[in-house]
Amino acid sequence: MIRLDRVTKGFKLKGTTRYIVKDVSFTIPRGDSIGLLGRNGAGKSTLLRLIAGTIKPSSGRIIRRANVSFPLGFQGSFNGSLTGEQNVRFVARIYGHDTEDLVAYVEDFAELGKAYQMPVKTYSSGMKARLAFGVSMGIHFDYYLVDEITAVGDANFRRKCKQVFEEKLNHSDIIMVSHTDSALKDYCTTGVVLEDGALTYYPNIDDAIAAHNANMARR
Amino acid sequence: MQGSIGSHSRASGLRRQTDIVFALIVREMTTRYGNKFGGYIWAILDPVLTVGILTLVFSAVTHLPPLGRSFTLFFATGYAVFYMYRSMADQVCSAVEANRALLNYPVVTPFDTILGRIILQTATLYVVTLLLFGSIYLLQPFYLGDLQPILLASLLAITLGAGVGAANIVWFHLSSTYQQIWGIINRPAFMVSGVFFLPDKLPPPFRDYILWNPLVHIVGLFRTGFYPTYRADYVNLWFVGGLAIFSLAFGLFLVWLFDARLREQQ
Repeated sequence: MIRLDRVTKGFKLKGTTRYIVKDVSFTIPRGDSIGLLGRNGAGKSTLLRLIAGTIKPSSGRIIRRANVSFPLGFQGSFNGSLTGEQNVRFVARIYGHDTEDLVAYVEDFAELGKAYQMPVKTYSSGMKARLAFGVSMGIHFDYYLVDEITAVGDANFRRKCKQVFEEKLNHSDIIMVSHTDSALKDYCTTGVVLEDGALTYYPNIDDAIAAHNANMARR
Repeated sequence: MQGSIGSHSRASGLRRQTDIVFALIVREMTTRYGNKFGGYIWAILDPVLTVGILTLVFSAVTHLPPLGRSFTLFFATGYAVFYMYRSMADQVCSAVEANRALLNYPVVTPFDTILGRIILQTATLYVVTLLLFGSIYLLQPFYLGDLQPILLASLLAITLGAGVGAANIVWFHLSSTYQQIWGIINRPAFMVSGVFFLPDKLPPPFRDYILWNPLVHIVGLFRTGFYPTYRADYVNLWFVGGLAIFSLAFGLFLVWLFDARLREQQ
């Protein structure tokens, strides 16, 4: 369970404060996968980072009774001069995961071959994405945070990713930011629309998508 | 962390934090010091070159150093401990910015990155100091007096450096003007820290002024371990010890206080 308790997050810009969320209380129960919708710049990604805990609310608190992931497929932390394997070891260590176990899992999953032992700066963007996705899949989380799901690799690899990720979702939930209706419908059961600092919860993702589209038509 | 509530989670939380700091240290050892020429080489080359240049210049100008007969030993005993302070302050000060990408992992906190740097830099500095004095000893054997003031002075330098560095993480994050000013003010720090002179020999008003600089006390204390006849009466352990501990506590407190701001881009 993740609970937002009277959470406010604002940014000061040229003397005025712009609120991403204002005095929002909201509980995300285990078992629901949630899609976050909102217009460009509404603060969906910021809300996702608040939930992850990588940024703090201006006031209020966020209670996490669950193990929440880093953004799915996050690769910004890979150090170019370290090999793929060394980067995987680092993530395993910070998550208290058995290093050899994760190294072996990602080696098998990412299909990088010899490149796994080469510095990440020699990787193509596709190889980096495969490595990152492998790391995300190799560690168990209760909640996976997804900021726009992006396709990785060729058709075969994409099929494998989708299959593994769907298996994961038998035990884990996802919180997803996306502008793609089909992705939201595929992965989410419920939805939240973020508009002008307020969150509206919809128990059915289709209603959330409809409400979001109505917002977009209005302005 | 399923069901990790209560007293059990505190113990495992500490365990996890140890794992994270350890992971950061290993990562930094392999990236900063690892693959390329540079890294460790520069860490040792800085004091070696500085001491070498000071020795060359001063032995050309004067006949004897203020203490003993060896210019090399005199400047090494001055610069080594000053270098401990300064490089610790510099390294800690850039800890959060250098690891910013890693803060995207919710489990990694700014505090972890600072702790990792303090531990790694402490180990590095002791190795560097040992290598420096070891090689001087091989070239020009000296009498090693008392290890206790040497260890105490180096510990003070490291503590003060870590504290100043930690506080500066926050100040620099809040104001880039302050960062510029700090850089300018600190450039002459090397000149007024007693690296190449003894405060005992300064005329009265200047002597009192310079004793407000804690580094003068640290350098003096460090030297008493190498020169058994040097007493360095001016060293005030309460002043410098108190300041070092206070600065570390204050620096870490600031980091804790501004944790939310530090997580956001400048």
